[in-house]
Amino acid sequence: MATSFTRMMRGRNTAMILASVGAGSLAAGYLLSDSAAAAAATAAERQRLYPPSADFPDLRKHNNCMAASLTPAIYARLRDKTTPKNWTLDQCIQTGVDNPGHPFIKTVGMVAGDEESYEVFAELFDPVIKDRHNGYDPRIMKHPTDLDASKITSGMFDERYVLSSRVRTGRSIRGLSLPPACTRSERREVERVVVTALSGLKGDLSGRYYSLGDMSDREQQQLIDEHFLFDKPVSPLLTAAGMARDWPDARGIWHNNEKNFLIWVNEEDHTRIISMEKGGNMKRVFERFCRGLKQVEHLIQERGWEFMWNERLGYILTCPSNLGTGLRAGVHIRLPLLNRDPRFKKILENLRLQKRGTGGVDTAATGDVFDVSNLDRLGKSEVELVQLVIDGVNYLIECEKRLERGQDVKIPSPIPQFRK
Amino acid sequence: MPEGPPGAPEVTRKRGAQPENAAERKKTCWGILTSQGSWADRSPLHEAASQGRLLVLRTLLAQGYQANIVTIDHVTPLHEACLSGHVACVRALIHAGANVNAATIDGVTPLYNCCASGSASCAELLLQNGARTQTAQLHFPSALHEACRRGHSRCVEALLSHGADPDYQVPHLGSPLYVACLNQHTACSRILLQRGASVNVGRGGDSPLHAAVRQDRAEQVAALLDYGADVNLRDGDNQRPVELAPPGGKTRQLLLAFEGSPRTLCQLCRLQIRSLIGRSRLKQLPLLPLPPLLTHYLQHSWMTAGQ
Repeated sequence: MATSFTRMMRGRNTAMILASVGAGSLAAGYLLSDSAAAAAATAAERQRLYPPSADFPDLRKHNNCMAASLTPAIYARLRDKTTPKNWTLDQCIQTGVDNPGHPFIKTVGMVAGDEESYEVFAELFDPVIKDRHNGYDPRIMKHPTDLDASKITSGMFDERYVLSSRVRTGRSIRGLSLPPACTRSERREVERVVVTALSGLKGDLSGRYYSLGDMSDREQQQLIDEHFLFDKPVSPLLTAAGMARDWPDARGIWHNNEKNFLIWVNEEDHTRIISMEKGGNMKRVFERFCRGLKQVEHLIQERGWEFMWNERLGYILTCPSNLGTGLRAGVHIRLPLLNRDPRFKKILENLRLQKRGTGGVDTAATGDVFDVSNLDRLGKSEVELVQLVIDGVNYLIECEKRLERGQDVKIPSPIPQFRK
Repeated sequence: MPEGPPGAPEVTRKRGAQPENAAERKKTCWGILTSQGSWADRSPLHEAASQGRLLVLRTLLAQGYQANIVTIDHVTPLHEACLSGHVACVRALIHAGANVNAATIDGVTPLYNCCASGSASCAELLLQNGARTQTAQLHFPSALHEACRRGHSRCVEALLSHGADPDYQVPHLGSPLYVACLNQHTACSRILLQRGASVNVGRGGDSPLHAAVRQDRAEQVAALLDYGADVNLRDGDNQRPVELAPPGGKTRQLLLAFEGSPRTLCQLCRLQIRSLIGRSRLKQLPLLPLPPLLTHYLQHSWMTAGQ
């Protein structure tokens, strides 16, 4: 039985009707797109109705690098600028405005939404980077990159003291917005690009990807037990920067079959790459780290993508604190005697090392096992930083041995941060 | 509820039963691989406590956040509230079961943070709720020393009132009195001396008087002499206090004058009586059946009383 629609389509006025529908669609499309553009324009216009001074954030109670560097004049010059992906200064600094910081610890207070943020808003990012990275000036300095693990010496620690070794970094994929700014489609594209590339890893680096959204109970429990699982960020510093949006969409964990090479996808950065193992063989950990990074980069490049990098800032990551190498090489180490020595803090400071907890409950009880890692990220190459950690940790172990023998220890002379 | 983020139990409910100790396991490893250095392990509860946002803090606690949730460095929200001096937040956290003696990986306690920030009200609140005045281990930072270093006399008063030992020695710092003299905090020195701190105990061979003389603090030197400081003690370089005094300074004049006319019989008697009474009973001096003038004199507050 013919429907009225069929009859209508067979009629003489068909052409007229189709023409009308087409014209209507075009007109509607034009009007709708025009109104969307108008809405965007209105938002920009609305902001321009007020001078930058009326928009300047109240930073009187703040203790972060952004608050220390942002002046009304800089804000006035940068407020109305946007990156090619429409990211603004206000979006960069929102986390620092919402999180005043800490009385004794200075946080960064701003993030990048894309690679271009560091260029478009350089007038603010540069002093923040200089403040955070102990005087590294992106305007006049160049960051060295070196992933040649064969240059490392004395990379085997005494395992009576060192329980585990790890090296981590981050990498961002050029052309896609960073986690604070990315759309759902961009985030999914990051996941697709990375996971596709990782499937090409062979030998001891071959492994498997676990999507946070599609994980089974058993897989989840296993990843928790192995300390591989990362959870939805709850830190206000991260949530205020927009890094927890759409959780757990397009987030996941990849690790090799030997479980000593791990990649987090779409956590704080596009990727976080970690090489680790029990014991004190830091040279082997770093060798695997370099090899894995090079292979991942090669596989990504084969598919027409590349990592964000430039010679001033090194590898580009979301938080200015991770620029350069983005590298953190560390050990879980037991130093019961040195930890009780009042000079320990100064020794670490002069060796450009930092002490953190390990996250285990045993740490609270004994206070003897902790994490020691490099303080710097920018201005020294990967090889230099790992060597600095190796030399520093060996010095700490030597100090511990001297204290065990009842001998005195010396505070080493400070290590310069940058190459002369 | 695990000490992870509030999202975690949701996942657990959706995905069915987990082993009984799963929450404990998660608590153990929470933050192990977090990107240390960017504070990714600080919870909203830490932030609310640090900023003194009482309403947010109460809401989070009501939602099931643990009052003792720790960062990777074992910092609790109570540490943060004390460091920022937010009394109402400290009270709310204690009420929610916060551990008043929680220590970070460096041995820092909430009480130490109160003394660092100078919040005597927070310190008093912690002490009333069982905070220990002495550190768990000798190498841990001492709250009394920190209060003396920063010149927070009300914190010193609160600690001593709750039984802190005014002569508690930290090997690399010395006695609290020595620290107060070294950092030129006369008010703290006076409180310690009134509470019976040993006037000649410093750091190694260095006495509090040596420290005060080096800083050329005449007022502090006068107080130490008043409480029986020995002007003949020698430091590590075999020097007496008078030899360290800057030439032509008030301190030098004071010491030379003192050497010229030693303590009176009254002063010597006072020192002897205080010594015999003993430090633990000094606060009971006003209860003795003595004329007020004599009581004030023994308490070193006779000048105030006479005015």
